[in-house]
Amino acid sequence: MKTVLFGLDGATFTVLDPLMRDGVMPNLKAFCDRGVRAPLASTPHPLTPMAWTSLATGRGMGHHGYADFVRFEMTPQGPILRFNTSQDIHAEQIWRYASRRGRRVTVLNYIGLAPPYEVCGHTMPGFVPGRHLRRSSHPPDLFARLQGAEGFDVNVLGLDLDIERQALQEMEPEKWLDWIDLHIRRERAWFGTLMHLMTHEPSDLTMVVFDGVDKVQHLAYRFLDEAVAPRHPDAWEARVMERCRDYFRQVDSYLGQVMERVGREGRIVIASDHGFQTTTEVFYVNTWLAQQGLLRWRGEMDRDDGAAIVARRLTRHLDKYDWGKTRAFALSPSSNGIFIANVAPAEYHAFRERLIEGLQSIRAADGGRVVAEIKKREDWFAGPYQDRAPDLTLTLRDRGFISVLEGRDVVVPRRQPAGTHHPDGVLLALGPGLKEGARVERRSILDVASLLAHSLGLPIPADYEGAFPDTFYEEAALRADPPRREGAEAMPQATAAAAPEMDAEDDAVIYDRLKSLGYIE
Amino acid sequence: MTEKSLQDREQETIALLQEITRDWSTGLGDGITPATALVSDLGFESLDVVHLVTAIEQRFGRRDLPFEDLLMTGGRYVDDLTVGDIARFLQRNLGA
Repeated sequence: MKTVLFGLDGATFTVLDPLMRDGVMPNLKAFCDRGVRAPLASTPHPLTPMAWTSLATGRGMGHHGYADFVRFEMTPQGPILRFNTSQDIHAEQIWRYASRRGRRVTVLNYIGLAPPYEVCGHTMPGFVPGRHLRRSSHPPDLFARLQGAEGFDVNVLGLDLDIERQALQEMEPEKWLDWIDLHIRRERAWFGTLMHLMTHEPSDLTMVVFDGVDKVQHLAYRFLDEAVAPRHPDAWEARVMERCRDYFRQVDSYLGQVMERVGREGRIVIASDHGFQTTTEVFYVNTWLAQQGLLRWRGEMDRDDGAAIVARRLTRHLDKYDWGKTRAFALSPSSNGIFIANVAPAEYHAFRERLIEGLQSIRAADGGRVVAEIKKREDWFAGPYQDRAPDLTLTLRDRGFISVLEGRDVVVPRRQPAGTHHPDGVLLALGPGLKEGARVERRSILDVASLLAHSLGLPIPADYEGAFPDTFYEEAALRADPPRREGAEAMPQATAAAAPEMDAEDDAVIYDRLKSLGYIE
Repeated sequence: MTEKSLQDREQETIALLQEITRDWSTGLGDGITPATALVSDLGFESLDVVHLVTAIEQRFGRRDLPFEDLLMTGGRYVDDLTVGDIARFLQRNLGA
């Protein structure tokens, strides 16, 4: 059956429900009335590269290997940052699987599509600068085919790092409306591309991600969540709130047009990779590590006072660490991770336990514990690629992202709350056989790929780690079209939100990885 | 196998960069030469280098090239690179 995944990066019912209630998103409301919805538990660290890749592969990070936008490798020349690409994903995405099984696919603005590879259909990646989009798309002549598409503008579609970075720090008020407008224009360009291909070269599986939801919420979440939004906004705040609603109004219009195009003969799945909430403080983890004598800067560091979390140029930031004298460090805010270096294999576990104890002891000015949870890589990201995860992944008490800069203090309250990722995203589905007007229990992001495979009439690959979301279907529909599982092995029932239990085989895999990394002799 | 000279590697690098920058307005009147610098002449930014690295890996079918030797010196990232730097890197690591 023709199937569309309508991705809304970072979407949360906390924001969507009031927008539906207030008439800003009437098509989404109709979708809910006619379809089924559930909260969607993201990956253990709810981050775009990890989560969207788990959604598309049905595998946890330890198996697909895509932990973060960047990864860090120690080389004889020193530490080098490598950007993760499609070549760093080691599990098959649903579109490659579907293409291999004879389905035509269209995938737009999804992460991990560049450099492109052969599929039956089209791919155009997200998170790629506009000037690289043409050669990062498939087939090579896709741009030529899209010249007539309404709104198709490569300068708007692409990623601009300088602009993106602005939203991760405190932005001047006069820039807010431009920022939201940029994402309104960008979604228009992606939607024009989507509709052109759906009209002229339709696929069995169509997937598109509108990532402005995430971008707008990082900046303006305090105006979107009713729990914290101003009850009596001033003129500027009112303009920001209305422009945010314009953004969601437009996305809703696009959803309505996709619903009309798909009709009653196909299925539409709406999903987000994670949800959202407010973050109210900045945790300068490297400042704390330096205070503990675990990290040494090469010289005097400028102290951040702008509630920034990310360096202007990450490669330049790398030069600031004294790598010979650093034993624990954080590099990318997105990972929320601490890496351990220069620790003898025999001392690794004891060192890491002391580090965990130290992190657990950090208190903010109000006496509260700053680090709410600490995840060891082998517990939460088990698999052949678990070494791509940091040694420790932190969940902060307000779920904020760490700052990798030097702060004037370890914990600094934000002047205004910002948006950050929450582990609960959204999953909704509409179409033949699916429940109508139903709300069901939370699903895992690992379950979505099996939903898509089944909708396409394909067997569910045996190595998918999620469970088939049978609660989304009418019983009679499932009896008539039960999910078929490929291969002899039963699908594990583990969910993304729960720590996997380790067995002897897992232990052996981890032992081998640690040995190969030099942690164990 | 035909031996590749440094001039061959320069031409391969130039061809690769011409493909990458096809849609850019570089304003290079004389075209790309071995002396052309990525940042100061072609306007490369950090993500452009990422795409160049990936393009080299794809072009030569190698994912094990020690790009740290090209991108870093003395443990720090270099500020700029010329076409000639890249050609010499390829010559060293892909063989003549």
